[in-house]
Amino acid sequence: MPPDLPLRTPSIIVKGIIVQDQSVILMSEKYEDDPDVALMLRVSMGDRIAFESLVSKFQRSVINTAYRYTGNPSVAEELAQDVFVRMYRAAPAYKPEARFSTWLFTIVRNVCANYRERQGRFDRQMDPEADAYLTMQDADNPQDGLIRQEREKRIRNAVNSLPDSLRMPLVLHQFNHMAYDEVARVLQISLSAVKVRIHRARTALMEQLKDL
Amino acid sequence: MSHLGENLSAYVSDELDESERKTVEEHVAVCAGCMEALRRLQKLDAWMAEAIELEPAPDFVERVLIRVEKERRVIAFRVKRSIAALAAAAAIVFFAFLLSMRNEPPPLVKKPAVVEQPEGTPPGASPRDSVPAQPANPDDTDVELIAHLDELENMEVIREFENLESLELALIAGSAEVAE
Repeated sequence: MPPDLPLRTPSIIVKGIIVQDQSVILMSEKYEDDPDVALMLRVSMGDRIAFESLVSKFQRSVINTAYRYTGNPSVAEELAQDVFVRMYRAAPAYKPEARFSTWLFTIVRNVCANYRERQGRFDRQMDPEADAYLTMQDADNPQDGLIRQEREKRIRNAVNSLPDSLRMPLVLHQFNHMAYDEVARVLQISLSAVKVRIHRARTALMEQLKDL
Repeated sequence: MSHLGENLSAYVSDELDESERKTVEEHVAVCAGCMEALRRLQKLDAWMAEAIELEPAPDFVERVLIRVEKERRVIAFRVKRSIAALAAAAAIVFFAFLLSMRNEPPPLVKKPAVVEQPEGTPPGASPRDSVPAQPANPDDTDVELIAHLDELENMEVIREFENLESLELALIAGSAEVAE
């Protein structure tokens, strides 16, 4: 039996998902060769340099996932900090059972969901701070920048209007380039659910952006 | 609406195996509606791929480290406080135990009591039937000794005791001679 398989004997394995007894159990992925797992194990033993390396490496993807989820750059950065503080807190009890990124984005999902719970429904209007950020990004090419900004605003509003159950799978896959099976592990849902949710999210976005 | 459902989206995401891909490609080749849906999905995918990414602030890592350091200090403080509280509780329990030991009556020592049979006790009578002699209170002797310890250290007093003893012996001897 390979070391990365769970103790229960699977009956069928389909694209990283074990189907057994009419239920879907997420298979632990191959993580032994993941260098970030080794770094995290060092963090769990109190290695500050290893912690700093992981924060440096994942800061961009964590901030952008939180940004795509909240639509607010400053909130995204706050949430990203929360994610890394939680990662530090969880370090002493860390036991590798999946790739490091899967474990980390499970924390991202929880932090974002908690924020959502605290805030209630988001204001779907444009965040002025986010607008200022977009203008600053396109300062070199104002003509193209305007078109791009307009599209960016529309996409962001459309993503923000999605229900939670569709937004996070889309954000993880579309903006964070995660494969469907990794999204399934992070969100702890089945692969077929990920497939359906991402398709529904895209269909909703196309409907909102059809005049673009 | 596409006939291919979520497989069309999975096709754009490159999440289909070879046979599924072939099925999708064969269908869109003959279905204008699905071809249009595929085109729109691909356009959306391209837009989102071009979406602006936030640049982390230059001091982001440093700020995380500061927060983590604060967190570490708070945890260390809480641990120290817990240890101090436990130590204080243990000390209170220990002193309470000591106090209770001091106030407790001396433990009963079961010694086999040797009771002399007083005269006139019928043979075979149980020692329980006889009244045991009350031992002299040892505390009285101790108190007297302690009260006169300083005198016992005085050699003159001891010598007087010795003289008294020899005088007593002489008197006993004298009275014996007179009697004879």
